[in-house]
Amino acid sequence: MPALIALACSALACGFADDAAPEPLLKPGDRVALVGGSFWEGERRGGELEAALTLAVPDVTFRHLGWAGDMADQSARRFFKTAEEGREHLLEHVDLVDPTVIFVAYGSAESLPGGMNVADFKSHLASLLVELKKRTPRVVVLSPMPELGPDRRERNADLARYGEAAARVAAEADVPFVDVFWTLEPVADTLTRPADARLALAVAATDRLAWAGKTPEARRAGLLVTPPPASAGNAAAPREDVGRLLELVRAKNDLFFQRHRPQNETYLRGFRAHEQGNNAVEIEQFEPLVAAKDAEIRALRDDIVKAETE
Amino acid sequence: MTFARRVGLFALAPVLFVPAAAFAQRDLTDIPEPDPVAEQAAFAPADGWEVTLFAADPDIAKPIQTNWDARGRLWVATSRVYPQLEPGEVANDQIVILEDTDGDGAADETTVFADGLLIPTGVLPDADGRGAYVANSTELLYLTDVNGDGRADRDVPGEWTVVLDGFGTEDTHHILHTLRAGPAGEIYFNQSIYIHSQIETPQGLERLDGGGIWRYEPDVGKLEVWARGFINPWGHRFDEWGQEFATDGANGEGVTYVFPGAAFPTAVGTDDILHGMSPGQPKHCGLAILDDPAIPEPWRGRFVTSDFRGHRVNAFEVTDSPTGSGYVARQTEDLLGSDHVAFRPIDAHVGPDGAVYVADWYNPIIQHGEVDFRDPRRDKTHGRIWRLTPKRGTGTTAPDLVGMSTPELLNELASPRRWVRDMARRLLIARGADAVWPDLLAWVGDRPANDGRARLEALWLAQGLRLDMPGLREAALADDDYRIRAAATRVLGFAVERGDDERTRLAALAADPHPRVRLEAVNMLRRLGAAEAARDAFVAVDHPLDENLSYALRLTARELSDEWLPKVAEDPDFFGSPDRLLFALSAAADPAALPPALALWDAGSLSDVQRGEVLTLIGRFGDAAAVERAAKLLDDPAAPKPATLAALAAAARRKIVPENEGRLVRELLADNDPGVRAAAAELLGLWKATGAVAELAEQVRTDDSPAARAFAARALAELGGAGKAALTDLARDGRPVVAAAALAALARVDAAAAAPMAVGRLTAGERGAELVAAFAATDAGAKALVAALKGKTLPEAVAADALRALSGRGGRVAGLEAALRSAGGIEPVKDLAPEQFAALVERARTAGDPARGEAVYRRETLKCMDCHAIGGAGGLVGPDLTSIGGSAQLDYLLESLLKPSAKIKEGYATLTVLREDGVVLNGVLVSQTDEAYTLRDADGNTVVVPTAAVLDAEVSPVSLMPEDLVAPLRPDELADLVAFLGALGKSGEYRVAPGRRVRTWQVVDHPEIWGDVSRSLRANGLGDAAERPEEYPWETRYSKVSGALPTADLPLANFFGGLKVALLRFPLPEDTVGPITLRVRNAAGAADASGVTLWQYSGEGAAIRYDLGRLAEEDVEGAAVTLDPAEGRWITLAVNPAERTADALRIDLDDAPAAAAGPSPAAASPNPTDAP
Repeated sequence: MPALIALACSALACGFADDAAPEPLLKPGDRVALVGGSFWEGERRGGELEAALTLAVPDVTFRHLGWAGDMADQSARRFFKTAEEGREHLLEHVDLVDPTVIFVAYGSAESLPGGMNVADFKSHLASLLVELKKRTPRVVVLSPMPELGPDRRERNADLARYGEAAARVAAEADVPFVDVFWTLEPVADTLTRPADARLALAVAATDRLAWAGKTPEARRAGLLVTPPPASAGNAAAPREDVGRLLELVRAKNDLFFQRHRPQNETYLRGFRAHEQGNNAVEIEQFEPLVAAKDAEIRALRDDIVKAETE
Repeated sequence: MTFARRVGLFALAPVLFVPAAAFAQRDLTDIPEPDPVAEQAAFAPADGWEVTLFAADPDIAKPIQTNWDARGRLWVATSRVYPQLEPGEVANDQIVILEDTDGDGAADETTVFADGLLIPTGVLPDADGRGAYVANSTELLYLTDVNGDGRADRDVPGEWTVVLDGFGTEDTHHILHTLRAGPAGEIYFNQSIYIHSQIETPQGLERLDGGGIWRYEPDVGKLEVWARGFINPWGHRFDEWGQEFATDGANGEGVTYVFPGAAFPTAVGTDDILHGMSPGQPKHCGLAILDDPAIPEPWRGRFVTSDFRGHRVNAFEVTDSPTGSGYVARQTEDLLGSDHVAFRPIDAHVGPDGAVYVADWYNPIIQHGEVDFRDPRRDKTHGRIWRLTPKRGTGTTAPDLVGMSTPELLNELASPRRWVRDMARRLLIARGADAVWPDLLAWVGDRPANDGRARLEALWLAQGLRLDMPGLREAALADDDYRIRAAATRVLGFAVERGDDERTRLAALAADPHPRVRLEAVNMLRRLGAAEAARDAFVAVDHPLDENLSYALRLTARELSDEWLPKVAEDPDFFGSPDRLLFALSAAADPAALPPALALWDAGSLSDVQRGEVLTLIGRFGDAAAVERAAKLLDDPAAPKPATLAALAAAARRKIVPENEGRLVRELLADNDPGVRAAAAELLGLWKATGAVAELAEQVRTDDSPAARAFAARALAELGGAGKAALTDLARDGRPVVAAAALAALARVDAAAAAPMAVGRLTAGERGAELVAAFAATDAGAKALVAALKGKTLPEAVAADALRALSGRGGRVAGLEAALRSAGGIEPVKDLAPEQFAALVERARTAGDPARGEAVYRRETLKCMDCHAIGGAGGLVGPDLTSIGGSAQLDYLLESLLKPSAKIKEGYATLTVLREDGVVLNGVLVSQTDEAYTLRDADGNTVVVPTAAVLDAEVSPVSLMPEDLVAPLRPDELADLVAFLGALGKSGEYRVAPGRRVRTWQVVDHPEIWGDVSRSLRANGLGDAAERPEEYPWETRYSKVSGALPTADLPLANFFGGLKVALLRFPLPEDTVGPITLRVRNAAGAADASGVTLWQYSGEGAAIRYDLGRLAEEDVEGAAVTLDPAEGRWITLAVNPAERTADALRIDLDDAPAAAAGPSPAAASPNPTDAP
């Protein structure tokens, strides 16, 4: 099969070797909230991971609460106020999603100059986990993704440190940890685009995320990388129905983005809401549109799975 | 599918046109005919220019930003989605490329480069036109055409290349915008006041809260905040020397000079801010420099920016500041004006053909803060690009740059046309260093030794290619032309930043003979972030400092204080001179700055001003020992008393009180300077000097300075039971001023006791606005006054006076306002029923008289001018109204008058601050730092509240504008007022003329001391008001929109023999350096100096007098006088209404000598005698 799968599988062994028969992190019927920074914003636009997991597990819905540039203190969501209010903003939207499982991916922005030190990262992440565990016991922490391409040694050393810190916080909070960094790091110099990395992660991690043991689920996730890529490492277009699934996922994510992070926040909910706040009624009108896309995704997923099993 | 949906939406639109409840549709009939021919017919271009249509809908809808590629194609970012995506609508905004293939001046080829975008507010194509940066809501995208079909290809299916992600979207006319290419391959983009961005880049996490300009180096992915502040800066442009300028869509300061690190109004986290060059301008959008040889004189080199509310393209002449590092701007006639209400010029460029291109957003409705997102009057389909050409222009065309070889392109760097040079340079940078450097070396070698311009082009190119060419750079740094040295200094700075070991070369430039070069050196040194760089920068302190250089050095001191302060602690002579060191210490805002400052004091060589700076540091940061030391100065007759008292007060607020200095301060209660007396009294209160009760009480009783009296009373309020008893006693004093001061102070500490006494005075008919304000300052005070007013009756005038004092304090004092209204029998404004509202709008539209409305506007009781400015004349509390009529519909204007809080302009939201002492303050937030909030209150005063003393701060939904200001007006008066506001900025007499006119005056006015004023004038002559202005009570008056000051508005002093005169004065504009001509006119603009005598005073000797009125009898054109500002900047006038034949006074200022206006070259001559 594709070189990508082979590479990723060796990475998988590296990343999850000590976890022989893990519990599946995703179950049929789950509502998933994706909380974090740039990693989830990229995935919101690309949809590779979500499409893979959609194929792997039936009846799962995903809601992206990622915010590029965000850190574990939610400072990017501060609007006119402080990071504390940024966290309130996030939790308000977590409550809106009412998830059964939450995937938390922080550590990338934090590790940059101008970010925050490891100790602060750990304490903010730990306090966030406390809040999230009040909403659902099933919280999963992800490490940051490695920097892709050549000349990345220094940057990845930083990212690895923050990944280790995230692992430690997850262990202290007694929640599962998915090591995205060490899953992808060995193949990172062959990948040039974040989309490829997410694809590799999707394939490599599907077993761990979705189902214990080698199952058809992992094979279905592999559908995303057929036909084989034109050149090693970079994916070519997936087959037509899977491509459509990706498009539906992206369209659904675009719609939910308008629900989660509408433009003109100042007028809709902020300090000028007394002027144009009447327009805020439109924000909720995105909810049925998102639900309709969920239904389309579910139907197409079932068609694909049916065709595969036949 | 998308198309079908869009048709569906627009099919719905007419349904909304039926008269519904909303008033917002009242003026729908005013929506103009969208035919471009009709719009073109309404244009009034400047003499010598003509306007033609380059492109229009349906090819482009709603153009937002434009930029050229080197193929001569205009890229246009367009949005139909603005202001907000509707549920169910697919975001499908476009980037469109317009091309005039046959050179006839009209676009004939239109390409949709990209669609599927969400409100793209900026586009910057690569010079070769194969790719473009696009600002797309939260993202900066790079879209590229890989397969050569002219359209952007998607990198990953469904995914754009997101270059930067995470920009704020709190307001869709503030989101990432105004993409511009810099001189060396870097790009710039802006965000506006409501936006908060936190951006992850490979090199770091970058943040920008509020407005500012970002700088981005695409080849290395380096992003930084370049300048901060502004409200809505949609104009940004480099001149041909690499200096940059910005304009703002709400700041009203005209063209603004920008340099790295600069902070402008509203910059978050600093109160150290710079300003634009032309305060009092309308809102501006876009900025172009007409620096093309094809532009005829006098237009060549002018800056143009668009007053989109007033439907006109303004122009400015920007020249070097004669004394400093920056520039001065002078407005000239407009390039283009129009009465067409949908003409919205928002971007302007010089094109490849040397013509001026103006992007016209085309909309009768602008804004979405004040106008509903879904207002059906919003135009979503139209948009134009207009092309302005000189009627007798020679015209030109751009060469085919994209197809040129590298040597050919290099030769184009010597083109006289900036458009060509910029595009050639950008194409060469894109070709890369490997492809360009051998030819570049050869080309540079072939340039003549005196071709500094070409060297600068080559230097920027080398910077963009990341080539180090030290020889070239050194030649530029040694150029005779300071503009080239300044640009080369910036290039050198970036090289040093990247590791070039040339810091000492940069340091030498901080002592360059020209201030602009020094400014560049300071700014680039600061970026190096090291103590040694700060030391190098501070060499500039040895040279004259202007506003820009002082700012740059203060910023350097602050930003690098963690670096240099430890060095100074080790080596007090680290900076090499006490002056440099003290400048840095004063600016550092760091407690560690105090010990070295005290050491300087001990060394004994400081001037009085410098000692004042050290005292300020003590006040801010001093420990007990340092404060004790300052207190000892009270015994030193040579010490600066006000600065010492201020430092001790600042320390006392930090709870640091020296021991046993009460006696010295008490002695100062008898000081000759009322300011010192007031400060001493305040200090005794802060120190809780209970032993001073008797003296302070005596001060309240006997001090004739209102301020000193008030401070003494307030100090008593701080002094516990004894102080309170003294105040209660004073409150019964027979003299109203004493009693009122005591009651105002008592209101703060024992409102329950003070309120009945205050009400007693009010019911007796005493005006008590300040007293009521003192009660309203605390919730307890307001409550007590309400209780005391119960069942009482006040004279209506007293109640009205008190109500005005409460204006702008928001809902917190609503109860008190109601009690005052009830006691005074003042009926509250009845809410207008929708039909009444609609009828009034209709009345304003059909029967409203702007002239009568202006008279209403100018009524003192309405206070409009206290808070709002027109053409720069008026208060700063509320938004400038210069062109309000150009954007606001009548229904909006009426609503704003009746319900000021319904819609509040950005930048004018009221902040309510609760101070730890229970005082609640309201005002517009001017700045906010870690240390303090700065507010501007309803009276236009600046109020600084230390952050440490703030318990709570929140944005209030209540406008500073009082609710009931227009309540006393009759319906016809209100309709006239609305008609006047609606006419502002439109054509004719309610549009502020571009020329300079005196609009803000000081007039002698003080009814209570008219006798004294008249006596003084009779004793000393009218010229006394010019020579000793401080002896006269001046008050501010404003001209009408036309610039005319009605004679009837002038207060008159009595002179000999029944003669009455009005005395006025105004300063010459600050930027005036050469001779300036004052033309005295009547309301209609005709020369008329009858009854006018004028003095110019230099500050010593006798004022120079010009009897314009007498000359005017035989020489009408003689109503003008040319003055040399060196002879004095203040002009004083005496106007004799009996001799004045005109009913108004208007003075125009211009640079042409008076002789040019008429046959008499000696229009007026100095007359040394001073008798009238």
